[in-house]
Amino acid sequence: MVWVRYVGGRLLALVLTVLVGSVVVFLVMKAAPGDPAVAALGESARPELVAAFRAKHNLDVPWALQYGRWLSGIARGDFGLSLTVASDRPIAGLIAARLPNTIFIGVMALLIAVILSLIAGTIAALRRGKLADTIATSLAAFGISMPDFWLSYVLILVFALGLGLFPAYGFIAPAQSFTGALYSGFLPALAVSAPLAAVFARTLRTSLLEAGNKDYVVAARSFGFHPAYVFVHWIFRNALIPYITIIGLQIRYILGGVVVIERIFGISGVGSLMVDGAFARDYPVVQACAVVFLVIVLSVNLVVDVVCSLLDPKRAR
Amino acid sequence: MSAEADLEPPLLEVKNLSARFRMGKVDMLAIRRVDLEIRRREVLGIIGESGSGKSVTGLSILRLLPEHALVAADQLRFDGQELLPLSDEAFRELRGTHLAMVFQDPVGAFNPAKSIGWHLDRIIARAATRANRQGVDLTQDANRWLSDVGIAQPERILPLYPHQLSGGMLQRTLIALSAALQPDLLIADEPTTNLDNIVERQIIGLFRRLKDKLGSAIIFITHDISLAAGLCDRIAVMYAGEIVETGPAETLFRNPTHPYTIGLIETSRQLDERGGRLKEIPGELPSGSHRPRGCLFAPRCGFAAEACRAAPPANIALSPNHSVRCVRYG
Repeated sequence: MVWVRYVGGRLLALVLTVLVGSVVVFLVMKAAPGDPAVAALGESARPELVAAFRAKHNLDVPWALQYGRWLSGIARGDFGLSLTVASDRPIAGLIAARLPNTIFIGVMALLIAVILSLIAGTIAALRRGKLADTIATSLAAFGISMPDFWLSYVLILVFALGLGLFPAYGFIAPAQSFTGALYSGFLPALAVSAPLAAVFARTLRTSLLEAGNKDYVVAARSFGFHPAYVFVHWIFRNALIPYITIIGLQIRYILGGVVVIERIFGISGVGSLMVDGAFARDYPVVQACAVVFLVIVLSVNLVVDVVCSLLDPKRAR
Repeated sequence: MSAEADLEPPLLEVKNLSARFRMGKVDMLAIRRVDLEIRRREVLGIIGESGSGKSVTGLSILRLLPEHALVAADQLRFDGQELLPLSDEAFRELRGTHLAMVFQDPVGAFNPAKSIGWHLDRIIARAATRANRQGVDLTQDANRWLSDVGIAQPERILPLYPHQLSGGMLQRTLIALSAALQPDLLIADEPTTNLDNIVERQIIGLFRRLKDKLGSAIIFITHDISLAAGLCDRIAVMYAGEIVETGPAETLFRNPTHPYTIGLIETSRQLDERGGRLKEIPGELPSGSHRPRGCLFAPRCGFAAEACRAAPPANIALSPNHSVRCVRYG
């Protein structure tokens, strides 16, 4: 019961945040320079055509009404029509076709970051001050300071063009072939995950070292438990809480990375759709993508918070 | 101490134990020249002020000091076995079965992510690994120890997490869990610090039962000399990492010989008799890196003479079981 109330409350907060976020997204797009009708029809378009275009896309009414119509449309799953990217096609359909690709790359990047950081962070903490720690810590520093677009090109150069292990461009949708998606998505996911893996690994290393110095570890040893058992149940278990908290805080960078990486690797996703929309002044597309990203980030944060509450008895409701 | 107990070899024999911590290039000496002896069914009190090395002594015996600590001893013999040459793995097998420790900070001793019941289950499983425990209902046994310390319905606290219990409650639970291990030697580091008088008496009762019923030996570390006088058979007084006087509790309490012991007992008597202003021993403990050449207590001692500052005093036997580290008795 307590949990139902907790999660229910958090869901309500999520909806409210999305509402506020939608206002911000709407206003920011309105503040952007350039007339969408002119962008779509060209400088020399006839006034009747411009007027018809404005009526069709809800541009001839006051802003507040525009926002109201837009929002009620979203509530019904209707994001309006694309202006220029895919003329007159419903944006909801464009997003629905691309979202699985973006989520696939994002989840894959997250999993890679988690696996890499679990290995590197644990080794670094267990071998503190030794060579393995130095290597892991230096790699982490490298990962944090490396821009993902640059890393993408390095990966393409080495693994695709150099060694020929992975495709340099293009992506097979997971609906088409799951293994194909894993294979073609590996390099882009790796590029997105590198800086995150570095942050996660450093957090895990610090948390493990901190937990390892706690009195409860000495107490556990005094009971004669096996060192591996002490590590798993006392040290790692307690280090897990800050580790997962950091994952929750960093997860938004995955989406930021995906936007760039989709362009570089030619993946048809929400990120590349958003970039295309921005270049083509297709503001309803950009707005819709922003709202989708907002919902994803907030939902993921909610999940992470719930997981943290489950792991940390002090935070449990 | 009875005559027959004297015939039995000590359960734990410690000779010239020292522990130092590597702090960069210099070593910080925590304890040195520590000699201890404890038999089964005996409570040995280690008393002294904070920082005198009492806890380090206990942790050195159990090999629980951090990695940068260097422990050495001429002898560290437990139940006929030298402990220092043992591998870490062999030593671990002794902990939780033959050797156990109760920690000073009960809140920090529990795994914050796990419930009390989880701890209880793990400790019972650990206790069950000892050969002579097969067939014993250890859960029932643990519950009895818990009720012994005033936790009448243990099942009520089992689903709770450490942060949901008070320090006193955790301390009692920790002591009961350690007792449930039925160790041959229990080292209790200030186990009653967080407890009120009534609970303190329950704990003292538990320690007595542990030694009478199971024949355990207990090292009772405390700064409370009157508490030690009531529970302990023998007392070792520690000052600045050394044992300055050791002897039967009664003898030590009635006829203290080391000026530091005299000071400690006077202080505690004042506390007991009138709650007024305490006559403390003036001065403070020497630091680990700046130690006087002669007697460590000389800078604070009312009797200090030239000889005290010249060289460290030898350990002088006043009787077969009472010795003191002070030149006045040489």
